[in-house]
Amino acid sequence: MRLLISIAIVLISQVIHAQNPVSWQFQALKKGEQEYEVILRATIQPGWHLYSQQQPKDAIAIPTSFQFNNNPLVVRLKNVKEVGKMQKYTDKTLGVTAHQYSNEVNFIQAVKLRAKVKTAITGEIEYQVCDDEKCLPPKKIPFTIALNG
Amino acid sequence: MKFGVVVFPGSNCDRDMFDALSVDLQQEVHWLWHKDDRLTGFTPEDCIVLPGGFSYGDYLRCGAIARFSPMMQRVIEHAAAGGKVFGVCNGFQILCESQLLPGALLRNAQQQFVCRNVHITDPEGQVYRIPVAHGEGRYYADEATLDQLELNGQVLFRYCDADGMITESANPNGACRNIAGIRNAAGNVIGMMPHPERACSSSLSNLDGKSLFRKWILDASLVG
Repeated sequence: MRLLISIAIVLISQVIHAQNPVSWQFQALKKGEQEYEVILRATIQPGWHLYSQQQPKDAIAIPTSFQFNNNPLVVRLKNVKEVGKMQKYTDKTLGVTAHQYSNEVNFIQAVKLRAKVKTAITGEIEYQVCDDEKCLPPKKIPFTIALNG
Repeated sequence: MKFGVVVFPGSNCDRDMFDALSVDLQQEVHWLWHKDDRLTGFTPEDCIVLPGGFSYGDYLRCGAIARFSPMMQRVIEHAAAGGKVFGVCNGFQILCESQLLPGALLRNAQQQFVCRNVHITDPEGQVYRIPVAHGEGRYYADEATLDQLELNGQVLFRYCDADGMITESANPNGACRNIAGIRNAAGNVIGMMPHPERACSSSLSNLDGKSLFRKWILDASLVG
C-alpha cells in the first residue's frame, strides 16, 4: 500500500511539473538610436492566470518578477511596464484578492545602450500560475535577448 | 610613415612588434632606446610604438617607472605635437601612466594571469581574434570618463564573442564595459591590451592582427 501511495505521489508531482500553462516569447524592438523596448510576452492557456508585478496587500499568489543581470553597456529606463487586460480578482472562499492576467500580457522594459554595440540583456523571470482550483509551484526561467547596436 | 619601437629594460614583445611591422607589414621600422633623449628623424607623421613586456620589471605599478624614462618625455612631446603613438599591453599601461590616455589598467578581476586568444570588435563591428597575455589588463575609468569615451567615439576595441556579441563571458579580465583598447580625444594615441603583433603571420595561423594594423594604424585612424 505504501508503495502504491509513493508511486501515486511521484506521478502526481511529475504531472504538475510537466504542466506549463504559460509560454514566453522574447524580442527587442528598436525605438531609436541605441534605444530598445525589450518585450517579454506571456501567452497563458485558457483557465489559467498569471500575476501582475504589483499585488494587493492581502494577495497570496506570487507576483511575476524580473531579475536583470548587470550589463554595464545597458541602461534600464524606468520599471517594467505591463500591457494587457489586468483583472482584479476576488477569491470569496479564501477572502483574498489578486491582480492577474489571462490569455496574454506583455512585460516591457525600456533600455538604452551606452554605445553602438552588439550585446544582450539577460536575466530571469519568476512567476506563478493558478486556475480557479489550484496553483502550480513558482517557476524561474532564464532569458537572453539580443540588442544589436 | 615610419615606426619607432621603444625598448625598455624588461620589454619582451619588442622584437615581435618589430618583425610584424617590418616583415609582415613591410614598414620601415627603427629601434628606440629608453635612455635616449631624442627622437631624431621622427616627425608627427611617424608612429612611436610602445611594445608589451614588463618595463623596469613593472615594479611599483605597471608602466609607472617607464613613464619617467628619458625616451617617454620625447614620446609625450611627440604626442602633444600630434605625432602618432601606439601602445600594446605594457605599452598601453605606460600610456595610461603617462596620462596620454585616460584611465588605468588594474589587476585582472580573477586575480590570475590570462594568456589565450580572445575576440575583439571595433566600432564598425569587425571581429578580430587576437591573443592576450597579461595580469593587469582590466581597463578602469570612472563612469564620467567612460561616458566621455563613448560620447567621443574613443573606445576602439571591446572584448566580444566570435560573433561580435559583447558579453560578460567574453571579457577575459573584467574590464569596464568590455574595453580592450581606446584612443585619445585627438585620435593620435591608441592603446590596447591584446597583441595584434602576434597575429600577423600565416605561420601563426592568424592574420587578424594584420587587418587590425592596416585598418587602425596604417590607414586613417591615427590622425597625425
